[in-house]
Amino acid sequence: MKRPLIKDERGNFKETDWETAINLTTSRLLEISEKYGPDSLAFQASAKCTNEDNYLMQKLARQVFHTNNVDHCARSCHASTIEGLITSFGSGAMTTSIKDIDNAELYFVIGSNTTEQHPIIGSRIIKNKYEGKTLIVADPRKIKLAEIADIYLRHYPGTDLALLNSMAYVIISKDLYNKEFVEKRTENFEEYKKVIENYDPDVASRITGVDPEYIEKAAILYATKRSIIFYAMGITQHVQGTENVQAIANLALLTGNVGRKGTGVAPLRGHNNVQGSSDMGALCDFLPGYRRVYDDEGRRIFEEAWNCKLPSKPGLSLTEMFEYALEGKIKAMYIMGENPVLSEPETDKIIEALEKLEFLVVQDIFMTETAKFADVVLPSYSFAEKIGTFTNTERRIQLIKPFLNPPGESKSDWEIIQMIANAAGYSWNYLTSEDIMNEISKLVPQYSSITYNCLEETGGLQWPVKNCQGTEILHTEKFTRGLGKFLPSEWKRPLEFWDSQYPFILTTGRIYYQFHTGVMTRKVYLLEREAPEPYVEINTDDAKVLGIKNNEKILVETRHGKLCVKARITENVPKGILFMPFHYVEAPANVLTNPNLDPKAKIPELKVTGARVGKCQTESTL
Amino acid sequence: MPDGIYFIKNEDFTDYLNSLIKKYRVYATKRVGNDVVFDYIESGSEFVDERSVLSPKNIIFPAWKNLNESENNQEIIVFGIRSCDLSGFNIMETVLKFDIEYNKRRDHIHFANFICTEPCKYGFCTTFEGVRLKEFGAQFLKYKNGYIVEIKDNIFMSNLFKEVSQDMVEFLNSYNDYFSKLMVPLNVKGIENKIKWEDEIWDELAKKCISCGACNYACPTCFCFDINENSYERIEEWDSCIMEGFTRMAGNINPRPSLSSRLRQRFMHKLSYHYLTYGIHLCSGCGRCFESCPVSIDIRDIIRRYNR
Amino acid sequence: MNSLKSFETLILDVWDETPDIKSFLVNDVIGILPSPGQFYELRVYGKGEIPISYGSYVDGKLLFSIKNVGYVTSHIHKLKKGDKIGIRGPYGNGWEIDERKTVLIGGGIGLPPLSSYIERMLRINRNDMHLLYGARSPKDLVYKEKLREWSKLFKVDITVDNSDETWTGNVGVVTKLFNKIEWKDAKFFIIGPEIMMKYAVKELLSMNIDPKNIYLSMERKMKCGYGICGHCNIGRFYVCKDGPVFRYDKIENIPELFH
Repeated sequence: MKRPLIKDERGNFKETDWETAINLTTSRLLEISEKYGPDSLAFQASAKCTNEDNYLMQKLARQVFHTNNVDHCARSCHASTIEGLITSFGSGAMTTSIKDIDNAELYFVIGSNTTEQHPIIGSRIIKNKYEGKTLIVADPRKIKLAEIADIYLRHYPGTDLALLNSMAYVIISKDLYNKEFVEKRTENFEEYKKVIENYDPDVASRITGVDPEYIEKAAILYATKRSIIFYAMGITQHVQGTENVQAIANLALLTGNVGRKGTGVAPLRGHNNVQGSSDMGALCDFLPGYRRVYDDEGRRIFEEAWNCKLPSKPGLSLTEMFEYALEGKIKAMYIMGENPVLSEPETDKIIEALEKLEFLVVQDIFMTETAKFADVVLPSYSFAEKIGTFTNTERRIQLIKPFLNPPGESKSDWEIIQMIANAAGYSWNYLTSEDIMNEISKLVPQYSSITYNCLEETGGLQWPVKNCQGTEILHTEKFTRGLGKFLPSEWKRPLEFWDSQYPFILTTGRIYYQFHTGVMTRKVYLLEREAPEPYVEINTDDAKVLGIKNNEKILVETRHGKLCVKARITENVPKGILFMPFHYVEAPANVLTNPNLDPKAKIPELKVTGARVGKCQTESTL
Repeated sequence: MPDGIYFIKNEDFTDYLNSLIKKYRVYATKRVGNDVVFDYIESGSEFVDERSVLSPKNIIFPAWKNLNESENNQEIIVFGIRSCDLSGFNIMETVLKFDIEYNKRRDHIHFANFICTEPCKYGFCTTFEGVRLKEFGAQFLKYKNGYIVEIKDNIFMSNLFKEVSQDMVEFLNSYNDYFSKLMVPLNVKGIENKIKWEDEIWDELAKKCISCGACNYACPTCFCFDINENSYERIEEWDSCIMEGFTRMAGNINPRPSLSSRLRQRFMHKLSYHYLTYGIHLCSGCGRCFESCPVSIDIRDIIRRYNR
Repeated sequence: MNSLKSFETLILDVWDETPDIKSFLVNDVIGILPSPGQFYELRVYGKGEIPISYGSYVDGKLLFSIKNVGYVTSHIHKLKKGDKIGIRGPYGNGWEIDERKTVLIGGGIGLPPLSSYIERMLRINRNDMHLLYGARSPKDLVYKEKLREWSKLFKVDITVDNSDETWTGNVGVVTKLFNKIEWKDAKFFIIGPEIMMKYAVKELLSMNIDPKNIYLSMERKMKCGYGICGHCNIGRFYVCKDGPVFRYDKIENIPELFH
């Protein structure tokens, strides 16, 4: 997109100049805030934009528009990691480094299709496995790593907590846990032991469907070797997402597999900057640097720096923003670099919500399905055209530099946000994105002392940074919160599970060649060629029983919607499970997913939805 | 003294390169950060005599080209390419020479390759053509206080060149033998007929391979490309035989549906098929496929499997 | 030497051959007389190219019969008389004309390349041919008019997999017609879906036909059309350059010949 667009009365987009677009946007946002209160606005930051862009977006929401209603897609993927690891360790990020993978003796991969989603890390695991390391994989789907794993645990979706607790049972009952570590570096062990007593492998086997012998073997290996746990959406996208993450942290604390070389807990972050955008506080309940909005001390630092009062009540999370919009409580939204129409659960409700808004402004590089509903569309730069920093999954802050000229009159995201702030009466005067990083480095302790020069010379630093030096491994002497805390939980059946009406569980996910809603990848010919169309994976035996042929279009129906999509018969999914990638607008899998949220992290349970299969009545998909 | 062989002293080298830069665009190895890459240079002092991370394949075979735009073929000098890369390009030419555009482009590109003085970490070029090539524009070999230069393309001639001595010529002529002792060649004799169709190695490799296509992109002999178009452009771009869509036809018919069959195709194309038609293997032993593979799949293992 | 440049030409006429096959009469702007069995790369501007063997070449007009099976062909089927289309070629090795008699065995959309051969042979007053042709059903038979003409000039045996009320001829796969073959020393041209070619070859070999007298027209995904893009590589051959017509003894040892 090259110029700002404004929707006219007939619903068509007309090109306009920046001044008009910014003035319209700011005045509408201020009007609505006046009329309905500051919490009637909602802001969506972007895990694809730079740290500088995201920092300004949350500053805009908080300082200029006085609301904590700022959030972004990390809510849908690793919100439970942030919540879980901050309460367990004090810091919600990968505890070790990618290089450190070579130092481990065992890799435990759970809920992550690593070779397809994080191929750099996945291939490193494969290489190490072939050099003699041990690999344990836990996943309902037979992913590529499962084929070379030493132990493959095929558990049912939504039963991860029982599996993890059971592994802890084996480790404790066989006295294999690291007593010194538990004593010196952790707290709450007794509470933990009490809960774990209920999870002997036979009980767990009934819940998870995994042979108790394998659970034992896996647990013993994990406890007796230097191990790293890798996990992703299979753990986080659940009503018990936070508790799953805490269970993983508990295992690491139990065995001392954290804080030293070759060990750790590695939540694999997806977007290029989802770690950074979380660090920058583009979250409804965290300020930059992970201070809670209701933490008076933390808030004071920012109130002084920004010279204003800041709201202390946590704002609305991403899913809640759309719910509230549907109820008429959110009246306006400012969405940057996100495509919720395709990426959020219950697509129909998202569309309804957007249409109900009184004002919607979308800032993006291409016209997306979400942008089509906007009143104003603002064109911004892609990663190739901007200068700024990204923070990757191993906490490494890296400088990116432009190598392409931006199209037309588009502007960089932070510039646009600054224009809006200034049109609202403020006087932000960041001249370059480095100016923004200067401010960040003073207010966010993990990013202290960072300058673009120092990033360029070192090639990128892992936070926390001090004197231009990074930290490779976290929690080496003490945890960020002091002691590691055991936080035990009981496994609860997911809200939607197998039942007589819906005998399948639908689990959604990603594939190798497409990225998320395909805004970028579906425009690349070779990627589209490899993965051109949507499909649903169904087990060979299930297909036989239902009389479904390969590539035949079938109806997948859940309590929330139905879709007609091609069936792909495979052994990769176990009986009773369906798998759909969510990249395709012609069969948006999120039409089917449920909106049940993890009460602490507010992350939707995208991995477990009750489903059933039938015949397609017509060729339409929605 | 034999025709076409000269000597250039180290102290004259930068001036020599500058004289070329004055007349033509020079695409040479230079240091950027920690890496050695190919880029256009403005001054002879930017040049480093070191192996580049990737071959300059892009210059004779662009990774991405809009066929609707005509190419401006200006004279380009590629300076500092290693013998393995140039050998690879010469092999690629056995196929690409049937294309008019390639020939037009190639006629304007002049290669000056530098013979390695010691084996690189992953290369095994002595298995194939070796370090001293037969086809080149100018070939440089480091010798004492300068370089022995063999010239086949007069664009590289210079009056800074001095006469060669007898021991320089002997050194040059025996260099391939000398280098073969430093880098012992693998045995590829007859491998085109020995490589087996039914073999568990293909499934073994398919377990490791993550279908990234890095081997195809890094390889100086991989020439497969795709043509596709949309309303704005008609694109010719590098393709990868490891990808499932490579041989997929309309109606979802695919002669190579499994990753193991595609890996087998890649190795058979390199070590067997091409040899059966052209008498040379489609590999120059540069080792870049192994170097760039995230799971370290090694073509040398395949060679050794069939030829102890 | 060849180039990827395609030439713009016009569609002179379009008509339906069968429910999913349309015939296109295209103006030849290249001016090279093609050999029977050769193919051209037809281009739909903005969509892509497909390799198609020509069915007939008369008065500088090329006949292409195209089945709607994929992305580009679906767009070709939307074109009408007077629309522009891109063309480059002719490419490949065609069917050889020599002193031997010819038995032509075709299935479905495989008829057009055989048709180009028949047309050329008839033009040099040769009718020592025998055509065995099969399709899925009577309405899927291509070139129904031509078939009628040819049956007056030489032996033509037609069969369908599934008949309908109007059909009075043979029913069954084309290999069932092989008992009608009288010339054991002829050359045999086979073209059609790969499963049909595989069984046809098997049948002919069991009838002791010399592999040197059997010719197949192979099909693989093609992009460049002249052997430089690698897509159609099979064994040491490139189907576009060394084929699409191959003498069977040269390719019989290729393990991935019939997929």
